[in-house]
Amino acid sequence: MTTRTISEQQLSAYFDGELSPAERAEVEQWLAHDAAASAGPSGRAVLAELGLMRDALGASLQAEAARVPEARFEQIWDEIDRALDRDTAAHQPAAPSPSLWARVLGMLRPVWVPVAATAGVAAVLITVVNGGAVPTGASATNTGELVASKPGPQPAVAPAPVLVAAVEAEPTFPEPDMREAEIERIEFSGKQGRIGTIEGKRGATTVIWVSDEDASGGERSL
Amino acid sequence: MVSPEADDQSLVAACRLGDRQAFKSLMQRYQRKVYSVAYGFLRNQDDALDVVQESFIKVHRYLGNFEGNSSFYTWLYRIVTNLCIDHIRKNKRHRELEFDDGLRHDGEDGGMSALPLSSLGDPAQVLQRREILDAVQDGLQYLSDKHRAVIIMRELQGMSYEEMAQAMKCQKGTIMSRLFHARRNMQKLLTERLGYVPSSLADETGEDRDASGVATPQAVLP
Repeated sequence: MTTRTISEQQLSAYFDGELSPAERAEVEQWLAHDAAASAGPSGRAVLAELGLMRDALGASLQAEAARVPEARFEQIWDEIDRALDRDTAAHQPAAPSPSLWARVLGMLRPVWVPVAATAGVAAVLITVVNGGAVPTGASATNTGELVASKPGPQPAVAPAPVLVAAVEAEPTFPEPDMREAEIERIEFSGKQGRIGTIEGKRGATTVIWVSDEDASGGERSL
Repeated sequence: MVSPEADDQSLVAACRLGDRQAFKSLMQRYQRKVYSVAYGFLRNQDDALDVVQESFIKVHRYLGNFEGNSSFYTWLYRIVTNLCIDHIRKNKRHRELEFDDGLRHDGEDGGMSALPLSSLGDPAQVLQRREILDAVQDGLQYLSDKHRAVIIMRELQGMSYEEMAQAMKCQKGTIMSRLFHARRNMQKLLTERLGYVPSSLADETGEDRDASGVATPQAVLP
């Protein structure tokens, strides 16, 4: 008959269910016989004590926790609530950074209104160059035809860069008769403008200023 | 809105959707248990309450990472354990060395053969007695940090040796040994605190005891 010693450390691990199946079987075999053979308290008594200590520990700490007033936990909840608010705020998606254009506009905002007032008047510039000499006797009909005409009043603001291009007219408009047109005032897509002449090296250039603003306020920019 | 009585899984799901009240319900369900664990580790009410607060903030912060492979309270206790261990490491308020609690660790002090709790009578009544629960608290107080930590993790939280080894960053075998010594020291402290083991117990169980009432430790399997 062999004699095997079960260490108390093994018994402790057995109590915790941390032994391998083989070790466990060995301890259980020992437990089945140790009551008669052991000189000390039986293995089962040691295991029962371990169980009681575990229960006593739980009961003791539970009693300790019961001493904390509910109001104290409420205070802690308030602290947690505030912390969670801070967390939530920190995780809010940041506002998209403004585009370059928006930032430029922002910087120009203090001077934007007067600049806009100036730019608004010169939205479209049509030049009609007529071989350098503009007949002063050219006339305009009320059909909306465009020709070089006599000088009109100079624009109130500095002229925008001259565009040697024609403004796209509404398709329903008839082609202008360049020989007969004499226009002093036009309306263009609900806008309005004025006609003037700029003298240059190549002769007189007739310009048509079309306001980008509506008719009621467009004059202010001219 | 989910009922405060809903199970953990439902409350966790509601929390993930931003239901703050569901989170409060979860906290109310576990706050005292968390406090028990924290107090077991730290032995100080304010520190334990700080850990309660930190734990639930962390839980909320990392709820998205909770995969549900373990129960919510297992996951929660893991967070609490880590916070307590960090707290102990940071503060070093208590004794640092494992074996500096004035108790013997060479296996020659009677081992686990003393049965301080079992000797006091009916286990159900033992757990109701205030002086016994206080003695358990005192015993915890006198254990080293490491011994107290393994006892709390195992007895109160039910952590496996493997989980404890991970938490304490040591080998599983170290945990097995440390837990055995921690239990033995706790039994010795309880024996001292509770006075004596009634001789009548030895008479009833037929166990042999030495003059101090401590049985000889060796168990032999024939």
